[in-house]
Amino acid sequence: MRVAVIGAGVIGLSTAQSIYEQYHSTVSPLTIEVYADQFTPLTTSDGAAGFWQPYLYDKGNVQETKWNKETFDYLLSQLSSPESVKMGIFLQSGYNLCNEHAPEPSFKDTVLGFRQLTERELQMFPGYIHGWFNTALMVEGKSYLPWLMDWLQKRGVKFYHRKIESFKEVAETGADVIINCTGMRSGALQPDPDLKPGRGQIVKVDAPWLKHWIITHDFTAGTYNSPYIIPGSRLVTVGGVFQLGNWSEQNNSTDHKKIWENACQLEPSLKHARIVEDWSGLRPSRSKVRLERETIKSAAGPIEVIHNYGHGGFGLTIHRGCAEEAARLFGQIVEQKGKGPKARL
Amino acid sequence: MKTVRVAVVGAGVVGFSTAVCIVEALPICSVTLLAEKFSPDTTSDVAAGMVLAEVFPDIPLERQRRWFKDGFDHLLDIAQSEHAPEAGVLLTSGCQIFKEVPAEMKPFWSDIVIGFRNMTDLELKRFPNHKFGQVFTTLKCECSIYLPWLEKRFRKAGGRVEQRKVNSLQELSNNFDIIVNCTGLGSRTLVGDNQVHPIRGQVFKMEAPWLKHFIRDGDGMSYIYPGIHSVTVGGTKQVGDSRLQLDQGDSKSILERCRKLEPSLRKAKVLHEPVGLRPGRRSPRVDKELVELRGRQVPVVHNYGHSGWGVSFAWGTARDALGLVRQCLHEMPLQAKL
Repeated sequence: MRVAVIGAGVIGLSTAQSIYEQYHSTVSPLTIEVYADQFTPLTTSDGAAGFWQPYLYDKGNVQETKWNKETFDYLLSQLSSPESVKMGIFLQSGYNLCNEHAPEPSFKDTVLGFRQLTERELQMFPGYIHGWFNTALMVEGKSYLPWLMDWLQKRGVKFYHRKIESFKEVAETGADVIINCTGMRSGALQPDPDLKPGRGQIVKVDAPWLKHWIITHDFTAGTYNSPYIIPGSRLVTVGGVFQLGNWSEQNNSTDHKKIWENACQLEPSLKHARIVEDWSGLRPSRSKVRLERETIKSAAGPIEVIHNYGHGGFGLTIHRGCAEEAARLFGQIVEQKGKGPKARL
Repeated sequence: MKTVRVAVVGAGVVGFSTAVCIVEALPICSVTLLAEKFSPDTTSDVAAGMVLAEVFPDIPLERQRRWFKDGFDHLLDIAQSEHAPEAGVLLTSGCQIFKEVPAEMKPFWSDIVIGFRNMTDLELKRFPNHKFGQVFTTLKCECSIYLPWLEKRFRKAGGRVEQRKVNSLQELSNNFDIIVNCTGLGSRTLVGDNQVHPIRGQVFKMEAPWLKHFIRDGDGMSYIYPGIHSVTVGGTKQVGDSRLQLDQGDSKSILERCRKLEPSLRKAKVLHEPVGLRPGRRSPRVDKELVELRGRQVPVVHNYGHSGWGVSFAWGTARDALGLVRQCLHEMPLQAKL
């Protein structure tokens, strides 16, 4: 079987990994190729802080909550591996702060040591009246993606630096299955009015005395439109904005000012921190993740596509659960094509 | 009113904390800090600076609580302000784990640190050799940064600093009206206190910026304390041992014990391996006395012997020492009449 993955962000690479892990011993030959016009460190996944945390509430998307949990559990199990540092995985604790009373988040039983904030902790954050403390995981794209690419290359996966213009183009190379992990730009391959950019901008700062993440929630302003401070292994990511419909990938000075002022109010010690760089990216926002099969009719015959895009601001958070599900869908196609292990025929 | 000349001897965390407390509160005093060693060459510089405590046998618990709370509140204010990085103070969360369930499950400082609770079974899974644990948020005060910051504050308030080895209280009696002794281990010779003894500590300072939590074994021997630019990994507690050279056996033992707690330490780069001699004593000496020096009765305030808890108790004991200096001032006019 020939599998073509389009997209080399965390979704594309982890899907390639799951397919290889689940099928390389039963499907022979199994050729996996990854096509992308951007590779690490230039993908959306690279700009993200790398903090595992879903949106507070899943709004009934129980499937997504399940995939988030699978990802957390998977990353947690990788913590004890000798590769953990190279993978960019580590634990970090911190504060979720709300300016009004709010129900407990969907991830409260997934993360470690989840609890309400004490009065003294709330006093540390004037203006916030409610919140939670827990230990979560970090998975930094700038380390994780190169690690994944290395993992895949060692197992014979080939990479092609190319902008794909259509599914047909990939089908013509002889691929049996196409995995669409194109994130924000999936609309160029197949129009999707539900997929919209959720523009984000961050400031990367040198502030190594900060050891906790702080995420604020303003239910009027909306998810990520409220300050957050997320220390990484080298730099601290300060945000945030979430501008739905804004396609600009240029850093905006008004956004910078607002982000910086709000963050300094939240964490006064940032005042004298050295600003290293700004970065803007487009979260591939959608009402829910598109993870499903589609058989596309074409002149040359049916094209089997598995869509795996639209992970908004939680791509790293949900990647493994989705990759495993995409691999499961791939398995269905393998069955249908009679390419499974000989024992099944 | 005549200026009262105060000498504070010692430039570690206790010396500078005490000097700052005095100079900021008592405008009638001119304060000079004298010491042989300054940061980065003090015992305080080797310390990780974690705000934690063990119980001292000879001090009423209420007083130790007050010391701890004073210090915690003082450092928390700094940690939450824009001065945090230049003062070297940060908030740090993590756990203390025990191989056997300890007799004292809730230490006296458990309601002073933040968010103290027992570890869940799931959290304990990471430490298969440990049966019990506590999770909390406390402060870390890095003296290589904090001491220079305190010195700035001291000088700004009019304090003077003199680099000089003080060999006897005698030599200070001509130029000073009150002597404050914060010489730590040096008190053994300076004031002849043979209760003071070195407790040797060897540590690693490592580069492991992915570590964000502290881990401490309740026995106090093995710990991992992430800091601003390095992680302190230790340690040893060798009573009566005054060797300042590295012990390769200790290095090996520390790495072995700490890698069990945090396997990713294998990937950490060693930056350096300092050794420090804690000023051991059953309990810190915070009191005052009149000492006959060159025919005069000179008030001497003592603030030394904090063992491995200098950073935790520096500000609290400094406040007490300030109170004792105030008492000395009240008693002084009587002196002048004699």
